[in-house]
Amino acid sequence: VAAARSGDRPALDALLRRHHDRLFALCRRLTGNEADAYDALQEALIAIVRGLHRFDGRSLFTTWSYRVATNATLDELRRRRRRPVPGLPAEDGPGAGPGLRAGFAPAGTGSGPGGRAAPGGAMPSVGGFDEAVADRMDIDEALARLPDDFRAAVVLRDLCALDYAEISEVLGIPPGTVRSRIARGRGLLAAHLGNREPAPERPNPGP
Amino acid sequence: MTEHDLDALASDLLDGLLPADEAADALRDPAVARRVEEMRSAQALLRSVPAPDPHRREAAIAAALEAADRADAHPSPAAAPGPRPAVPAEVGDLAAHRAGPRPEPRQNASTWLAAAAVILVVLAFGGLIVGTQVGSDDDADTSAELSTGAEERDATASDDGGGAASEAAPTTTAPPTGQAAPAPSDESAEADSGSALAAEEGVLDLGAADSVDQLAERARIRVDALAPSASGDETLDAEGLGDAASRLALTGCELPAEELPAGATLEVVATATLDGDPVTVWLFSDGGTERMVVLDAACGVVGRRTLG
Repeated sequence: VAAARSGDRPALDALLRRHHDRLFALCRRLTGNEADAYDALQEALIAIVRGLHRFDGRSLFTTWSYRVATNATLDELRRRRRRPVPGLPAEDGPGAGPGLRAGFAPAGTGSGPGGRAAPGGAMPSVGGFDEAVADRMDIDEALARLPDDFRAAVVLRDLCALDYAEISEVLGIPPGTVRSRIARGRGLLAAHLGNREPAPERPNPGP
Repeated sequence: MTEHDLDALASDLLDGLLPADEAADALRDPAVARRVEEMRSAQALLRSVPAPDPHRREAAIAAALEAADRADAHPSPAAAPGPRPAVPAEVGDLAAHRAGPRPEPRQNASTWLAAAAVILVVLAFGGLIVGTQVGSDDDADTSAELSTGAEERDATASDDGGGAASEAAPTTTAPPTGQAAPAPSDESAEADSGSALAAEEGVLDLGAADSVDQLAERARIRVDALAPSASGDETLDAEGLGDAASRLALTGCELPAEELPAGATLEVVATATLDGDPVTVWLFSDGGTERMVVLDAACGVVGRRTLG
């Protein structure tokens, strides 16, 4: 990191390569589809190289880069929501994916919006539509139904394996809020994946 | 126990936040155990992210490195300490524009501030000479302060440009833009104040559009119209384009350096309205391909298109 900061181009190259895949995974889960993930990741990588001089080493570079990537991705999602592309389905439904291109369902599947076939051949394809693809579309759709704040907290915890303090730093919210968002987000995610009615926003009185 | 309590407890159990004995007690409740398992399954699905495409991976890293090269070629004053390798500017044709006779907007600002400082100093010294008060030290102090203030403002102006200008310098200084051209007549009435200002300044105005795609189509038509023709009408004129770009630099946005690929040539800067919001449209040729970037009033990128 220090070498990259000082202008050592091979060091910067190596740094980007080392962190590319995990940042892609974060963007992929936050956006809900590969195409938007690549766009968001591009913004994130550029933000990282442009902001590297501001990285002061008080946190891990990994945490800092997650913060940059999370912000870049959420910004990208907000921008895209403001500027929907004509011809693509509207994203105003609760089942719509967070990304610009969400809303596609494979022809003939009758699947809800949120999932889509991946460009670039990253997804396995056996018989056109295998179980793995179905699983991923389910998780994409379920994640898309979470509010951005909940989705970010859950993804940072369950995918990126950050602890609550690190997530607090990435999202700029108190650790207690992180904990509640993760719990609520996990509960909603599990409910959506299990076709179970999610808990209402206001707690029901218990027995 | 409410659903929220159940989620909170299961989440804590999943993260191992409870002591072992409390966790064992909690997991004796089938509802809690089931919720933990549901969350664990969701966690496993969430982690099964497909690997990125290797080609896109390389392209993304290359683009980021290019952005770093551009930033190094025009370092910000607040940039990282330490030596940086000398990296030549990648947009040679734009650099050539910068070397041209047309003054840059920031240079204009600096010139005016410097001139103001000189005038103030002269006035202050004039006061020293013709003044009747003996205690003219105050005037001298004041003049010195004013002079220093002007220099500081000048420096501040440079600093302000440091972050953005250092990266956008190639585009700030040399963006050729289209000759003044009228907006589409049926839509020009919808142009907001930004477009109206652009019209006054003689900047190409693409009028009002509902979408980036519509804007791209309109830009494509205008680019075709502006292409050098045998009649000589509406041909690209570097001098006129530069003036328009300078006015844009004063009143609008600059194309972020990372948006301009290495070797690309900026051709046209135009204004327009998108969904009623003022935007600037930047057209450039990238290896023979016409590309378009649209910036909103906050200078954020709201669209990119290839014009075919």
